Amino acid sequence: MAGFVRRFWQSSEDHRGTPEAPGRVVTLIERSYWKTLNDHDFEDDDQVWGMAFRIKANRVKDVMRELNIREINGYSIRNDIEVFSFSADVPPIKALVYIGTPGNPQFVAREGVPGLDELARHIFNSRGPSGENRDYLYNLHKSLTGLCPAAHDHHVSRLFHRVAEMEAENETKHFGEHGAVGLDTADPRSKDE
Amino acid sequence: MNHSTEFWLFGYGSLIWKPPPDYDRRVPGYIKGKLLDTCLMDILGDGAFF
Repeated sequence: MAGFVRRFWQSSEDHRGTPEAPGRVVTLIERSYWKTLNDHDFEDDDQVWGMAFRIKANRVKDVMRELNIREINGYSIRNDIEVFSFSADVPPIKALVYIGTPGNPQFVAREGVPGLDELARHIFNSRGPSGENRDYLYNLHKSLTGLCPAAHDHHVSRLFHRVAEMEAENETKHFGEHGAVGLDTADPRSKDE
Repeated sequence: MNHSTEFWLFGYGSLIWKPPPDYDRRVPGYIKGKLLDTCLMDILGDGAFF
């Protein structure tokens, strides 16, 4: 059984970006592979927190079909993953999970791992049919911190704080423009209103 | 391990805040990130050698 690492290393052309300007969403990769990538900007976590859902027995086929449409592009399915509850009273749950495949075209770290600032800037500047890429990051961060007290993720929380800083800087800049103060961090591609 | 006849799905991205259709139970939890390192820490941590 392998360990896993969650990273914003999957390109999104259909939800949080476009084919011309893909956004970034999370994927899980095997830790043994991750170790070969020199991911120096982020600490590794010993747990990957999330939510296990039990599908109603009579709906399993339909749900599988729907999820294939939503998730399958660039992912492979593992059905032997053990999920551990924060509560010692709940035994480990065997679950299905989608794992990003490093060979898929949407995997962005094959030819170099993006650093914190590069990844944060990319998320800040991306948007697609499902909305702002940063809202995906904010939703994920909020969901994880609200999951249970033990839940944590350094990669997600560091990106969250960096992108939130960029957003605040951007608002300050635009406020400054109106007041003729102007900072030269302007990014003409940013969409504000 | 229980739940062997049940179908569970682990969400680590948008599934967390956009749950799959037709679930009847959900459990916050984690999958393991480090296996080998954790085991090594356990061995070193019990003070057997140092």
